Amino acid sequence: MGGVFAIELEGISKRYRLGEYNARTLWESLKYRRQRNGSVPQEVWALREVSLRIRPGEMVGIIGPNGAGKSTLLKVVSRITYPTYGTVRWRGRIASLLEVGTGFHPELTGRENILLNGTILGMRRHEIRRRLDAIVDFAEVAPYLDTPVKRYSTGMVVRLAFSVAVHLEAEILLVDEVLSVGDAFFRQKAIEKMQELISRQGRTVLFVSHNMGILRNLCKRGIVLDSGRVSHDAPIDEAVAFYLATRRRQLERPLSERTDRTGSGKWRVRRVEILDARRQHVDQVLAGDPLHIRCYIDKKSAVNLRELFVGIVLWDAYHTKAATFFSDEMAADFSFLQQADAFELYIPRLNLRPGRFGIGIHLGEGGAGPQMLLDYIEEAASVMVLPGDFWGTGRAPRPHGIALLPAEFRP
Amino acid sequence: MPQSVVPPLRTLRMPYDSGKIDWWELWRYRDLIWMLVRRDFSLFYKQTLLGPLWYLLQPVLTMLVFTAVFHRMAELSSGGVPAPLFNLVGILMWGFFRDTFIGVSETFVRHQALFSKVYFPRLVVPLAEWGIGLIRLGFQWIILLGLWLFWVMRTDGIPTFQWGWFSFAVLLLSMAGVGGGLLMASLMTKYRDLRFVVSFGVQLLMFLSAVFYTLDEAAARLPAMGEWLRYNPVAVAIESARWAWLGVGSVSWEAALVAFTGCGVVLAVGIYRFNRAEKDFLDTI
Repeated sequence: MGGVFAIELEGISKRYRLGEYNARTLWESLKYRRQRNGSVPQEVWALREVSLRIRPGEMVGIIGPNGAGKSTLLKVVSRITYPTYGTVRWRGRIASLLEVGTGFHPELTGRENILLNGTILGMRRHEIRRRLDAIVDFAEVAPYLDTPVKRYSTGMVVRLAFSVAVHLEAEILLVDEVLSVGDAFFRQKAIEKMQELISRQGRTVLFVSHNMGILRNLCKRGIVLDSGRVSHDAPIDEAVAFYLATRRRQLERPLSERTDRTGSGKWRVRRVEILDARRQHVDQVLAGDPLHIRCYIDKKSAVNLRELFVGIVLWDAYHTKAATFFSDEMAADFSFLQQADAFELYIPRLNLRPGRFGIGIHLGEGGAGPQMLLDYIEEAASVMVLPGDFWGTGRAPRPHGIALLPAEFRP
Repeated sequence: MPQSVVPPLRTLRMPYDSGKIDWWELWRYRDLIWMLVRRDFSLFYKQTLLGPLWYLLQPVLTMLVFTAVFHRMAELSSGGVPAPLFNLVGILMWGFFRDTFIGVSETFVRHQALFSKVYFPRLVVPLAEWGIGLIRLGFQWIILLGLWLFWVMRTDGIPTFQWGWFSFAVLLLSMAGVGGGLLMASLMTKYRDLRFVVSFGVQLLMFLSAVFYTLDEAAARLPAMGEWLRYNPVAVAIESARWAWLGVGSVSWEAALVAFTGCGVVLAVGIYRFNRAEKDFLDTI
């Protein structure tokens, strides 16, 4: 049965329009029609000519940096969004674990929500009824089945939503890394359930994850996406190795040449420098020491400085946000950028425990209104935090947890 | 699941299929239509003090006010039948059209978050909205039935009830409400202020739809405008319903045919535009 496939994509391209194109008022659209002067909405191609063929029962990991088109690919396959060009062919029912609990309503009881959510996900009512016990048992909400969901704890809602989603009977399963919710115990149970689902005979799975370990464990085949194109399609180990190698090369390239970024590009971060207390270039710093993150900008066209938004995030090794700095919260004044082409974030004490931290930079425009993304790079630079003498005791802090907070024990 | 069973092949070719409607898929999701209808009633029941009584109270109060203002004060004709009964038919039919039209037209505005997260045939939502309207109409008709029986028992020589015209009235309002709503829904994805145009336009339309007057009287008093009103599908439907139940009003075959054809076209265009809008309204980020 060489010709049988579960999913086949042929020349799939997907265009998104940037900005507030849709949400115009009648008056604005009349004005635009009369002027037609260059206010053409900007476009972004999230997928370009993607062709894939996935056989029934295959477990495929989708790998790629943020903005490479992974989620768009899953959305196209699940038909949440439509490709601009190209052909999708598929056999069997497609279930997605992209968003659990969609359509849950707090006023409805657990039972009502199970039925509603199940039918939204494409189940027939009799199918849901048949699985009701299994769903309820797995979610551990049996005593509260006829209680409105608004009286549930957050954990219970998450468990119930996840349970409905995994009890779908579908030939094709799309899984995005959703399991950052719920308590640790349930998360473990959920991962086991997913592994069971995924490894069940005959089921086709597309799996998106940043966690190379999980991907390697679960999948046989890996597809690497890069700026909307398939850049590698191979057995999972090879694909992961390929991805990590390109990623390393990406990070070593000068910032201005990197393509793993999104945004209109009116302004772009050209270079990021990490400076220590004496303003020396460094790539490592002692825990608790001062740090400057200095960003140089390429200005292609004018940006309203009063509406400039800068966000800087420090990622830890597990891709968790360890710290975030948002210029609007901090009421930063960027008027000096009228002349200058650089600004810096000064952190007086880098209260982080030892480890490597990635630095993500987001430039936006739009003040309080809807934001226009100028430039976003998930990992523009990185800094190694070394165990310093944070406590002044001569003893190094262990690399456990993320933050080091000034504190002392008292009687 | 035995390995030998190969599920049927499904194909989506873009941009060629951008106006295509997958009726089979819609049928597969029929349970969802029913669940959405049930959710609506369930929520209404839970979130209001009087619950379903509201459905009855609203038209009754409107009926009293209309009777006082338009028939006692302004002395409009009610065609020889009691004014409350005359008004109630108009109010209930109008309410069915209004709720369906507005409900359907807000499909994308109200469900944007849901649509961006999960797939299902989007036509499910307008169909559910229509179902909600139908059930509500049926429930409200209880009051009318009560008044009607009371009237029938106390009066002689009442023409027999005509199923045909009443079914035609409900069908026409369904087509107008769903079709017009679909068209508006697809336009609203482009122009957000259309929402206000719709709510205001619907208010105006009520005065042009023979809710509390007969088309004959309108034609007699305002000849220029009254003749046009005869082709307003909502007015045609309301007159037909009154003709079916009370034996007053005048619907010509010609007007009925024009209204029906017009609504058919609106419905077809509405479905087509809705399907196109559904495929790209989420594409702006």
